Amino acid sequence: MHISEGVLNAPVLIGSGVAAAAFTTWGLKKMRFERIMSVALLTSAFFIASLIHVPVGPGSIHLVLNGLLGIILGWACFPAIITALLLQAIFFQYGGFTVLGVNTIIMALPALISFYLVRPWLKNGKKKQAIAAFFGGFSAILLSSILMALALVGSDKGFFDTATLIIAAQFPLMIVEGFITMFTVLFLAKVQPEFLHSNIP
Amino acid sequence: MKKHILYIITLLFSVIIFTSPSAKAHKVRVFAYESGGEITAEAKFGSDRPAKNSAITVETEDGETLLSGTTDEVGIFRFAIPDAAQKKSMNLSIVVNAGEGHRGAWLLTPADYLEESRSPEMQRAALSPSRLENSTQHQVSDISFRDCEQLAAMVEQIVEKEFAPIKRLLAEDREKKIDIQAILGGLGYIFGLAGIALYFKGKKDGEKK
Repeated sequence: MHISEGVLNAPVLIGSGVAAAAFTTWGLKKMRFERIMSVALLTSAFFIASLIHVPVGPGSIHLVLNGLLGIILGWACFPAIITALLLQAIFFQYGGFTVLGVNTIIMALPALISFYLVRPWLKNGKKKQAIAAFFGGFSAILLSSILMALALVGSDKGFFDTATLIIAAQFPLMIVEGFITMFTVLFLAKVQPEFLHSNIP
Repeated sequence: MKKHILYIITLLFSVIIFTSPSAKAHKVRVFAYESGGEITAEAKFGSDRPAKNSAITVETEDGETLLSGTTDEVGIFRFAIPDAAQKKSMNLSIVVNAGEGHRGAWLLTPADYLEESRSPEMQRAALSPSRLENSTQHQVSDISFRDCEQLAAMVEQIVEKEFAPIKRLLAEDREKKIDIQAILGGLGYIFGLAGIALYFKGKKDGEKK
């Protein structure tokens, strides 16, 4: 899911950088004191998830977990994801500094959308919870793929070709992430319900 | 409550331990070398998956494209040394764009692909027929200059062949591997930052009271 350095042109980099900075500031402002440790825990999960590879398709695919972060953290997924991406760039050479903004938008914006789509369904019933969580994990990767294709317009073969290529390549990941998000949410609902039910915006 | 946190932490650590040995770099790795008058470029994802049918361009340092093509089924692209590069002996940057935002590059300096820019003494020594002739004069009197030249070329070819894997090994070694220190270091930063955030948020809340 990481775009490498040197692929994108300056307007895309600058635009997404500014947007990512704004969203991150807003996310930090909204983050409450008692939530900080959960944000850190999920940031760690995101940071490490990139090391778990799913060998499908022409490229290598690894877990992203952005849907999970979005559902649990809400707006705080922006500071969480930008921090994890920065550390991945430093320690694993994934992505890079100039593409930090665009990668953050690609992964965190779908997470936030998942949050608004899925959150209302988490309060009622185990079955609804499960379906909603699966959908959240699935759609986050789908939206990320579309955003990535949008970012690559002009530097690749054209939007629709790129989009179909990326979505086809990421499809197995959407399923895998859907299940992981589902099981994690169900597990948290059982053992740590305050993770899901504290009313965070 | 405490048990659950312990559970999560154990889970995190078991993930680290099970994944780190097989952790592979995710970006495109490019490696190029000269052999027999042409340049061979290899593109791979991580250390073992070839980047098939990927767009590859050869650029000068100013970003001017000299030639382009696609890699084959095993991620290899071969091309003759461009004339312009040969004349001006410039640095060549070989860029592979595997699509989906995956890009990798390798810099080829003139010393890597031009014979003239290699150390001149070495070449003279390799080509000089006199030494060889002196030592073998008594046994083979009719050894000619051309034979020596051929021999030099053969030696060069063999050395090239023998050294290619070593060059590759060096290139792979240059690629930083993800190790447990990096993972733990990253986690440390995350919780350190969380601590800083806690400090500042706590301070703000304290002022409000």
